[in-house]
Amino acid sequence: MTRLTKIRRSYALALIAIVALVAAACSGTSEDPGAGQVEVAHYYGSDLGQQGILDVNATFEAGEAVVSPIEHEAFKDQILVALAGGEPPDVFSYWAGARTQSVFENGHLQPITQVFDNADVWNNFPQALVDAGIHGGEPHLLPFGFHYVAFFYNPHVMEAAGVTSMPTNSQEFIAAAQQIAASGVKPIALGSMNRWPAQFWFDFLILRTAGPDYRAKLMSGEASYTDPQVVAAMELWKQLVDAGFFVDDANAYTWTDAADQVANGEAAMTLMGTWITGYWNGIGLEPVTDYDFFNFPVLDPAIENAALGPIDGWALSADAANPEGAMALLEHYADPGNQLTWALEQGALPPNSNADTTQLNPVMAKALVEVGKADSYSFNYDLATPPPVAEVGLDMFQAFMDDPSGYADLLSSAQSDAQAAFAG
Amino acid sequence: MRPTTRWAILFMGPPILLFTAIVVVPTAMALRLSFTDANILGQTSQWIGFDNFVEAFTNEHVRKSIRITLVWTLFGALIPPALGLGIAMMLQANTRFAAIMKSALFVPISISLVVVGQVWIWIYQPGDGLINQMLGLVGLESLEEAWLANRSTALWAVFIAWAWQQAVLAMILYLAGLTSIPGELVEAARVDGAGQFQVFRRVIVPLLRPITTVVLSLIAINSLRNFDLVFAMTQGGPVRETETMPMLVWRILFRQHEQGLASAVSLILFAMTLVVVGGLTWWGRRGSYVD
Repeated sequence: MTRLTKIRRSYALALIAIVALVAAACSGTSEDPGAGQVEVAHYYGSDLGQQGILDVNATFEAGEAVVSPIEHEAFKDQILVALAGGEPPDVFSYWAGARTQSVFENGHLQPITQVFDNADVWNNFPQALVDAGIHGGEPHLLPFGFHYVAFFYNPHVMEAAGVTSMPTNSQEFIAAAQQIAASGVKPIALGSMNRWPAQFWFDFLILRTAGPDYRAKLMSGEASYTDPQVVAAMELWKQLVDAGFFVDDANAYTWTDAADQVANGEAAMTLMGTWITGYWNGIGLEPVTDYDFFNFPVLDPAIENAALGPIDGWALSADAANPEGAMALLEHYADPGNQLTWALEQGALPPNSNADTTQLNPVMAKALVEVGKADSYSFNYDLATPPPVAEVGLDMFQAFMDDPSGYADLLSSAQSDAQAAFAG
Repeated sequence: MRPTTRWAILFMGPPILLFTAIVVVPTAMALRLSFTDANILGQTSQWIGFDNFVEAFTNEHVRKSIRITLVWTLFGALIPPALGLGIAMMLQANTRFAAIMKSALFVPISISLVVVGQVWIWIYQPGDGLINQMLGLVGLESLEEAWLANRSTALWAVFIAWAWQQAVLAMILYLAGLTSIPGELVEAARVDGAGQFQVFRRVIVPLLRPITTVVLSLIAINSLRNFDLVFAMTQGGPVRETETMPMLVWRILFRQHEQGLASAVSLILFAMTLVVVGGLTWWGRRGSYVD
């Protein structure tokens, strides 16, 4: 063999090796799931009940749930990339309401009627929660947990401030806040760095003063952010901020910072969903003794009592690689025992009415009762209005917490931005 | 075909193909998307001509973001290189202290910007953050601030965190540049009566011009593509005060779902990058010592 032939052979071998490596790389990094493997993506990080999902999946015997937990905020982006790229997980957690509607409208979900039939979701879940999973006349989201937004407070701080009974109307609320402030503690913690925690204030002020019907119109673009109803709600919010009831620099904190401030006694209460109980349980707080809640006070007795909160569910991707396995997993998720396992871990309420709710801690049990007593259940702002419009409002809430005095300008610019977003 | 041509094709082909696949094709796709009303979740899109570009230049959020990015790039081109050069000059001496300091100063560049962000979040934290604690210790409580939540301080707070890391990048490059300056040139200048400042201005700075071009180009590119640190520290807030263009593209795409508009803004950013880096390259060549 001549020297030239040897060199050519060496290069040929090197080329073959390179081609083989490139081919191996292009063949994909993960194998397709087998018949029993179901790819699952969810947004429940360690502070939002990740262990609960692992516990529920561990008892899935019909197959294997291969889970990709993703940090809560990052999930919002990654699932869009996966769906748009045509390589979604088989099953993924999602928020009921406008977000699921947006994914549904773009053809990324497939119906889960089989799950609703086999698990008899139709009869085992409250009608409002069943309805929350219906899109285009068919079930597309299995409710897995729902939440109740209320004032979660530190009983030790309340007691020290002399607040013995929790406020039920605006006068009592302001009196309690003044009493707490006089004891040297900030009455209200709010961590609006990520914007969404501030939305519950806007939601409740509108719901309690203008009612759920008006709010539904605002969320769908039929009402304007410059309407007197919205102005009145913002004015009430401003009065509370001006009175010094909120912690300083709310935009510097996250919701867990606000939860810590209440837990540490730096603030008395925070307006948050029941998931805060899971966070507090995780840091060793005891329900009732260390934390409890009261409802957002009545501001107008003529207005109906609306409950507020998100519903977390599971959706089946239109491009799921293993739809049969995914349906089996969804049926597993609809099981009352599994819903309870998850609810206890995360601090959620189980949608399945057959779940043994006697196992809920007293605070969560009370939340379940309050939901039952409510005249209606509304989604929070960023789930009630389409995602591009929600961006407008979330910005406005953060800007408001920065400078409440300019709310009139904020509302008028929110209205023009929302109008543009609705127009698409 | 001549053997040299075959070898050229063999060696140049794969990188050209790779470059085409990961740069040319995505850019062409972005260009196409920028003329459509594509939604990230949508399966179809309509051709809408230049509407996205008109929207980009008339939308106040886009204009504000362009302003923030340009201010960031301008100060980015001034502060980190100046700091980097200053530190490099100080550490040029071959002493044990300089060696220890060099090792210590390499740390910021070796950690990810997300980690840098977390460190600086703690430094800026209201209440128990490092800066506020130090202000409290020296009796300046009145100056304590929620640095990242205050609309007038947030941008500069994030910029300082970024500049801290970029100054180290500049320092490393300048250290390399300084070692390549012939000692006899400095000696000759001193023999001719030049003082310390004159040596710096008339000898060192001109000789460092090629390195300065590299430093400025790298830092300008890092300024224009700055996303991870802003995302980690403020996500563009408070109230969009730190929303750089990459951050805005993320927001338009993932929060507003408007893929067409996001592509248009990306292309504007791409054009800005070409202009800035092209200008710096021209400047570097124009007065190069080598030339």
